[in-house]
Amino acid sequence: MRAVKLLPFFILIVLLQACLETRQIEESAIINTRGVDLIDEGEKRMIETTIIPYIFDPHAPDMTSLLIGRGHTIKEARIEAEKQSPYPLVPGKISIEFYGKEAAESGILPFLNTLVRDATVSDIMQLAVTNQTAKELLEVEQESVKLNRTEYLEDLMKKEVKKGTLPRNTLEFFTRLVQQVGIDPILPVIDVVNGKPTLTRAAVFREDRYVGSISIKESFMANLLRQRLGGAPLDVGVPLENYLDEIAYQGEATEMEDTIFLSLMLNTGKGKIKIVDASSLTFKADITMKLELLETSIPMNIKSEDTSRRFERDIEKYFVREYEKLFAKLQEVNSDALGLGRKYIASRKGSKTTDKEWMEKYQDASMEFDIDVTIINFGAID
Amino acid sequence: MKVNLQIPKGEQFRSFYMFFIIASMQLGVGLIGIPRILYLKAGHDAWISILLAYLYIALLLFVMLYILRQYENTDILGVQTDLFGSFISKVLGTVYIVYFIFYILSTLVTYIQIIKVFVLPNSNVLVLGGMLLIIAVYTVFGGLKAVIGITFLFFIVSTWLFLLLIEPVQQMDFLNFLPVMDRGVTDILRGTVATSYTFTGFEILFFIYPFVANKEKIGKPVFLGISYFTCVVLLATNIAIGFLSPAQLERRIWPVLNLFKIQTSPIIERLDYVAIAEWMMVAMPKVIILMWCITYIAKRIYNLPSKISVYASASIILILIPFFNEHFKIQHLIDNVSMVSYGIVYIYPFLLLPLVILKKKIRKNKEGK
Amino acid sequence: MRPVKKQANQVDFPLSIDGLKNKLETEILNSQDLSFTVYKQENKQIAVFYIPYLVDLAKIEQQVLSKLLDVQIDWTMDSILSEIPLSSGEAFYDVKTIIDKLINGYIGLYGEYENAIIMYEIGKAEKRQLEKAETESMVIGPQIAFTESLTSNMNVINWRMNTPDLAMEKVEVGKRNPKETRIIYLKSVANETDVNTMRQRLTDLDVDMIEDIQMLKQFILDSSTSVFPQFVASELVDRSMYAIKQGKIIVLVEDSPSAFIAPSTLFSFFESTEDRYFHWGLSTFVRFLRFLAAFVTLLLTPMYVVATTYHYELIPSQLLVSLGESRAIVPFPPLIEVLLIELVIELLREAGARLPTKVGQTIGIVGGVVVGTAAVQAGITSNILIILVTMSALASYATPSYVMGNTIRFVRFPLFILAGFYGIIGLMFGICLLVIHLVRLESLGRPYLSPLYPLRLADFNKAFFRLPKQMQNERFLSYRLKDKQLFNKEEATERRDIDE
Repeated sequence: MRAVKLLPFFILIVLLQACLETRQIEESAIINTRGVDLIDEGEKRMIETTIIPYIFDPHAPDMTSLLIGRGHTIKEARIEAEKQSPYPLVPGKISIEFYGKEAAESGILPFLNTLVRDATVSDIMQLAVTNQTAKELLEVEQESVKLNRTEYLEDLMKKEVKKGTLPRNTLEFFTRLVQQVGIDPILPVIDVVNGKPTLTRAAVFREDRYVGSISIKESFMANLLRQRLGGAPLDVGVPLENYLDEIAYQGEATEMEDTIFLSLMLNTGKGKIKIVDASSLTFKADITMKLELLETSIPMNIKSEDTSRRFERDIEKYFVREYEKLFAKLQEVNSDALGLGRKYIASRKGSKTTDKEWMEKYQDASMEFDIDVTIINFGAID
Repeated sequence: MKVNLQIPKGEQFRSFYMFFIIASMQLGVGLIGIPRILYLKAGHDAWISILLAYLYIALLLFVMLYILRQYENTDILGVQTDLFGSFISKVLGTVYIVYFIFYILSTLVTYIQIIKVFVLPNSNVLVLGGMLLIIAVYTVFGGLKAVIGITFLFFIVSTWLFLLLIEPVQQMDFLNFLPVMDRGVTDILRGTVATSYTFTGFEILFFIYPFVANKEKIGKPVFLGISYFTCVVLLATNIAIGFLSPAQLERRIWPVLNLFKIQTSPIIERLDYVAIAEWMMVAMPKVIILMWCITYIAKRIYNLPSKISVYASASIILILIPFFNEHFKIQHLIDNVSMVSYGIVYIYPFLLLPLVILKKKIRKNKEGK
Repeated sequence: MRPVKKQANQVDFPLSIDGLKNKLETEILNSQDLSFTVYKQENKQIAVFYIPYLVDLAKIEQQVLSKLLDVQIDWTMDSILSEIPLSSGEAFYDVKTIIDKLINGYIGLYGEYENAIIMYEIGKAEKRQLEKAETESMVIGPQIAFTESLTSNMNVINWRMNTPDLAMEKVEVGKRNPKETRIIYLKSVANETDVNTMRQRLTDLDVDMIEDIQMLKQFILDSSTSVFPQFVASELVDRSMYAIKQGKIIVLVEDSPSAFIAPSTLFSFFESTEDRYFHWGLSTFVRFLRFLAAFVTLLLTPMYVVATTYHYELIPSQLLVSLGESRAIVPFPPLIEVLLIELVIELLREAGARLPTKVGQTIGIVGGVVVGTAAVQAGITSNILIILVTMSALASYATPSYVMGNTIRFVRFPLFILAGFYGIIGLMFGICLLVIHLVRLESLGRPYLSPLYPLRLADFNKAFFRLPKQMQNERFLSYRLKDKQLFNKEEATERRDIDE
C-alpha cells in the first residue's frame, strides 16, 4: 500500500528526467591527447590547442583525428576546435597534455586551471613538455606511430615512471608541487627524433615555468632524493687504471680507453636530505644504493672482495661528481627540483617562508653528497 | 505531555546499535569539506583542534547522559516538561523540529551540489532532492526498527570507501606536518569551533534514549561512536594535509573527494564517481534519523500522526531545496545552521544541568519531609 | 469386531434395493459412473456399489465379493462385518455421508431392508512413486523429492527423523474443499511463537480452496507487495529435514509435492543443503560465489547503462575504444538496447521453461547463438553487451532457488530504468530503495535480513560461510529457539587416549 502511495513521486521523477542531458559514449568526441602552444598571431599572443579525440565511426579507417583550434583562453580554443568535430568534445578521458616550448616557458598554471576545476578530468592524467611545438609532435605521432597510437605516448612515459627514472608526471602531482613552497616539479620532455616521438630529457621547472632540462639519468638522481626506488638501470664509468689486473680479455678496441663502463641495475636505493646548518644554509644528502652488476664494457674477473669494494668506491665517486654537477645546474636555472626548501621550511617554526624568500636563499645554499654503494651481486659469473 | 515514557518491548533496541546511530549521525556531507575548513583555521595542526573538539563532545555527552539518567525513562522533551512545564516544552520541541528541518535541508543541498559538480552537471535539484527524500520517507514509514536497520546496513556497506584512501596515504608527504605546533593556541581553538557543523549529530541521544533496551550499557557504544567519527575526521584531515599542498587544500572545496580521485581499478577507472554515489549511503542515515526524530517530536508534542508529519516535513524540505541552488547560499545556510547548533547542541545541555540537579534536590527534600 | 451403533439423527433406512438405487442416482452428480450390482441368496438380496475408477477392482474381487459369495454366511450386517477380512468396515446411516464416502473411494454393501450400509475403504489413488527431484538438483546427497501424497511425504519424514519429538500438527485449510495441511517441527527446539503464528495464519485463512502449496504460501505471506519470496519452498526432502533439524517449521499440504520452510531469511535462498556435504572451505567458496553471482546479475548491465549513457569516464581506457566502436553502430540509446536484449533473454528462458525439455534445449541454443550473433552483426546491439547480458543471466542461475533467481532478474528492470534516467545516482537510489525494502521485510514476523540485521555474528557461520563441523555446534540463534545447541563442542573436540 505504501509503495503505491510513493508512486506519484516516481512518476514525477520520470517526468522531470527529460531535463537530464545524456553523454552517450558514441555521441561524444572523447579527448585523448591534447597539445597546448602559444603562437604569435599578428601582435596578439594566442593559445593554440591540438586535440586528438576518439570519434567512433564504424566506417572511418581511423578512430582518431587531429583537431586544431585557437583562442585567447584554452576553453575558447577548444570551442574553436569543436567546430571540426561532429560530436561535442568532452575532456573526461584526457590521458596526456603536451606543452610546447613557448607555452611551457611562459608558465603552465593557467592551462592547468581548467583541468583542475573540471571535476570530470582524471587527476592521474599525464603532463609532458616538448621542445618543439605540441602541434608538430602530435602530427608526427599521428603519422609515424603505427602501433596502438592512442596509448603509445602514455605507456612510453608510464614505463619510465615505473622504473623511477622519472618522477610522477600526473596532473595531481604536478599541481601539488607547483603550489608547494620549496620544491619544484620535473616533467618528461618528448621530442621528435628520427621521425618518431622519443623521450629525450626531463624538464626542470621554476614554479610553473620551464627553465631548463636535465638528462634522464639526472632526473633519476633527483627522484632518488624524493622517494625509495628500485629497478632502474644505471650506466657508470670507472677509471680503467684501477682494474688492470682483473681484465679477463683485452681486445684491440678497448686498449685505447681509460674508462670501464658498468651497466648496473638499482636493486633498492633511497636518499634523504638533511639540514646541517640552517643559518648558513648547508645541506647534506645521504644516499644509499644497492646495485646489481649486469655488464662491463671490458670483460673482467671479479675475484676478490677487494675488487668489489674498489668498484663501489669508484661508483660512489662517480655519483658524487654527477650529483654536484646536477645541483650546480639546478642552482643556475634557479629551480629547487631536489626539494631543499621543504626541509628548510619544515625546520623554521612560527614563520611563514614565502616562495620568493626561499628562492633568494636557495642561491646561497650549499650541499654535500654522501653516497653509500653496495654491489649485491654480479650475475651468474664473477 | 508525560515526563516518563513506556516503550513497548517491540520498539526497543539494543544499546549496541547506538554506536552506529551516533557515528552515522555525525558522518555525512560535512566530512567531505572539513579538512579544508580546519586547515584554513588551524593549519597543519588541525589534528589538535579535532582532539579538543572530541574532548569537549565527550564531556557534553557525559552531561547529556547524566541529565537523562536522573529520570526513569525519558527524552529531552520529558526533561523540559518537568523543568519548565508543558507550554515552554512545546515551544522548545518546535524549535528542535525547525532546527532539524534546516539541518536535513543543509545536508541535502550540499550533497546535491556535490552531485551536480562532480557527476551530473545538468541534473534537476528537485528530482535529486525528491529521490533522496523518497529514501528517507520510505525508511521512516518502516518505523524505528527500519530506521536503525538502514543506519546499520548503510554504515557497514559504505566502509569500503576507506580502501580508496590507500593510494593517497602512500603518497603523503610528511614534511607537510612540520613544524609541529606552528600555529598559536587561538588558531587551534578557532579550528575547534569550526568543526561544530561536522561534529553535530550526537544530540540524537536526547531523543532516542528512551528506546534503548539496556540503558545501563549505553555509555560504551555512544563514546565509541564519537571516537570512531573523530578517528575518521583525523584520518581524512591528516591525509588531505599530507597529500595536498597547502595552496591546493586552501582552494579545494571538497578535499576528501580529491583524495578519492587518484585511485583507479581495472574494471572501473574512476572510483570517485562510485564514491560520490556511495556517499548517499553515508549521508542518508543522518537525514533518515532526523526525519524520524521530527515525526517523533511532532507525535509527542502535537499528537500528530507520523504519516502527516513525514509528508509535511518532506514537502517543506522539497519546496525549500530549489532556493539553495548557489554555492554561497548553501554556505550561508550551513553557517546559520551551525550558529544555531552552537546554542542547541553545544551549550544548551550545560544550561540544563544545574536546573536538573536543583530540581532533583528539591524533590528529594520534599520526599524527605 | 465392531458393534454397530445406531445414530440418532436422520436415519434413511430401511430401504428396498430399488429404493436405494433411486436415491443414490438422484443424489450423485455423476450417476452414470456408479456401478450398482445386486446379488441374490435365497430370499435375500444384497447390493454392492462403488465408483469403479476410484476403487481397486482386484481388491474388491478378492477381499469382498469372493468372501460374500463363496462362503455360505448369513447376509446380516454383523456377519458381514466379521467375515470380510478388511479392517475399515463401518456402518453408515444416512445417504449424504454415504455419497461422501463413495466419492472418496469407498465401496458400499447393503442387504435389503437392513438399517445401515456397510462401507469399506478400498480406494485407489493414482500416485507416483518417490522419485528424484526435478526442479531442484543436487550433485551429491539424498535426492528424494516429495510426492503428491501427504501420507507418503509424512512417511518419508518420519522415516528420516524417527523421534517422538517430531510434531506434525494437522490443520484443515479451505472452505469448499478442505485440504489436510501439516505443520511439522521439532517440539523441543522450534520457537513456540513462530509455531503459534504459523498455526494462527493457517487457521485464520479464509479461502475457498487451495490447489498447491505455492498458493498457500502466497496467502500467508508477511508482505504481499514484495516480489521477494518470503518462504523457501522446496521439493527436496533433504532440505526440509535440514530445516526441521535447525528448528524451523515446515508446512506440507495434501496433493502438493513440495514443502515450504518458515521462517526464511534472504540468505537461506542462497543456501543449498549440498553445502553441508562438502568440505567447509569448499562450501564457503561456493557460497561466496553465489553471492557474487547475485551482485553480478544485479549490477553488471545497469553499470553498462550508466557508463555508456552518462559516465564514459568510468570505462577503462583500454576498453573505451572497443566499447565505443561496437556502440557506434547501434541505433538505440543504451537503455533501450539493454532492455531489448534483456527481454530477449527472458523470452528465451520462458520459452525454454514452457516447452518440452528437448525442444526447449534447441530453442535455447538457437536463440542464444543464432539470435545473438545475428543481432551483433545487424548492428542491433553491441557485442560487449551480449557478453554482459549472458554473464548476468548465467550468474542468476547460480542461485539455488529458482524463485529467488527470477526475483533478482526481475528487480533489475527498475534498476535499468533508474540507471538510464539518472546515471549512477539513479542506480544508487534504486539500490538504496532495495536495501530499505529488504530491511522492512519480514518472514513469519522474523526479520528477513537476519543475521545481518539484527546483527548476530554467531549465525554468520550458517548464513554466509561455513566453519569446520565441530564449530557448527549451535543452531540458528536469530530465531530464539528453545534448544540452541546441537552438540557439546568440548566433548566433540576432546582428545582421547591412543589406547581407546
